[in-house]
Amino acid sequence: MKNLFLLFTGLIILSSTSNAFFWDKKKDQRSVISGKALMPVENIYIYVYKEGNDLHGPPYTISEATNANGEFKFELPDGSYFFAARKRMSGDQQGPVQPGDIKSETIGPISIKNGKPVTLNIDCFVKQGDDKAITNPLETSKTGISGTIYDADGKPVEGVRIHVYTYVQMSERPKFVSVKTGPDGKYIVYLPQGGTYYLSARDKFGGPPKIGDLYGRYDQGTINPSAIIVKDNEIKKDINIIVNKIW
Amino acid sequence: MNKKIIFILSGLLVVIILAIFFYQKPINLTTIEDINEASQKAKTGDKRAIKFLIRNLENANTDIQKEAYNSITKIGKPAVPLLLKLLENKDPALQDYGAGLLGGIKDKETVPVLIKNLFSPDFKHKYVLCWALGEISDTSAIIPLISLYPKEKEDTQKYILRSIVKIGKPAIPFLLNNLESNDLNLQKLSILSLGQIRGKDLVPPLLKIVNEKNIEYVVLALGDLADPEGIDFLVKSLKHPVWQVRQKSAQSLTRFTDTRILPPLRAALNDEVVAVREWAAKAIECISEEKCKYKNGKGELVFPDSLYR
Repeated sequence: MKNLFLLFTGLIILSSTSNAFFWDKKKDQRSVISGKALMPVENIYIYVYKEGNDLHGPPYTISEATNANGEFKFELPDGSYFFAARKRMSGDQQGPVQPGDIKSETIGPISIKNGKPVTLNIDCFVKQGDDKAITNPLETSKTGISGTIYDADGKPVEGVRIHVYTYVQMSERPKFVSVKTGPDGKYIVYLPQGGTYYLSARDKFGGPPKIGDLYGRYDQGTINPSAIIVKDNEIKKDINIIVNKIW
Repeated sequence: MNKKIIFILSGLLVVIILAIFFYQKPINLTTIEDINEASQKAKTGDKRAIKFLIRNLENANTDIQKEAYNSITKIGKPAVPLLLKLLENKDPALQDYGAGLLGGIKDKETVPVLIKNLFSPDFKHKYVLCWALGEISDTSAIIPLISLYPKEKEDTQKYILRSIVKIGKPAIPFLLNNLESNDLNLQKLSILSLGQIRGKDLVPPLLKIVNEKNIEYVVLALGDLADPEGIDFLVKSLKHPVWQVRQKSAQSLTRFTDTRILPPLRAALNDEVVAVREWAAKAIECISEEKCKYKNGKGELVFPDSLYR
């Protein structure tokens, strides 16, 4: 019986230490942000930007999807923030909002302080026009660039977009963006006119590529991207790009 | 009878204790909090916690995966032995994680193992190893990286070039040695790297080896060096019979400020190729800080696209 008692004691000690490994939680003070996306909209995400950050760049955080009543709830540390609601019909969390997607105007800056809860009710609407740069996959001009996107193993890559820039720095928003590549990795981007273009390919939109993202630039083995000179009424072919995982 | 029950119960308890002790939470149940807690423990060298983080590199949830990756990078040296083991894994994705994380941790003692894997047929994605060696920037990687260059695919070659540039000035003597190589690949690596490293007195050796096969690389390197000694050659190249050379010369001249370059650039505004005219206009704008129009393909006078406008 004595042995049994010792075993039980050991069991209790071990299970408590094992739990402590995974579930010891320390919480710092955060404010609860809750509210409703008004339409109401289910599965909409609230994008949070810190004041001073690019509202078209990567957000500070993204909420969980809203529930069936359009309600959301998340926590933020003290600071000044902008908020925007977005729901892309493609299911993507990033990238330009397309016609038919649901969005809101940007709200803010709103100051969050001392764990004080904040209620936000966000008016949402369906985006109508398209002023973004996604190019039409159907032939819209006789000028363009085409090729195939490969991975490090030489296999075609699906789900990658081509970003077209007109300046070598490639640091601002792309001038044109293709639709996603299919299983054959092939793409074609139609351009309004000939000129000097620089290409990158990536699986995510917005901000600098992050660890784990697929990214590649068209270059001829150089560090800087190589210019692609396209003449009017010319489809420049075999502009192939290798995308690698970013480390 | 009592003894028998006690014996069975004891056995059961031992099994339960062992199960609890060796229990590992399935990775599909891992939360960011679990990663953060494991990260704290791992920093003290807790192998179990490090293993937990490494297992989560394969988590289907990319947020958890990235958090685990970042946590392991912060752990540093205590994680190195387990990461070196990852390099031997048969799964290329795990090999990549091992090399990528070792590059992030930047422990110079891992360089020999990374170099050994550069030449191993069992390590699939060499570009990750090249990237890691560039991050660590140990000079012992210069010769292996240079020798690998001619044998590798274009994407790996690009990472080798980047790593050599990252190692920087200590690589210059080795690159100068390869400048006169008969292998155009090695010449290309040497020319482009020397341009990017931007050492002193590199224009004469570049001009010594320039020929019709490597002139485009030399023109780009002269632009990167931005040494006034290269101006005359670039201006002369604005009249080269190959338009790509003329375009790259105009592109390289955007890096200079000497206003004596303006007349030949203005002449290049009449080049028969639009791209040359466009880059001549860009170069004029960079040098004179005045907007300059060029004739586009339709014969219209337009300003070139500019990041600064």
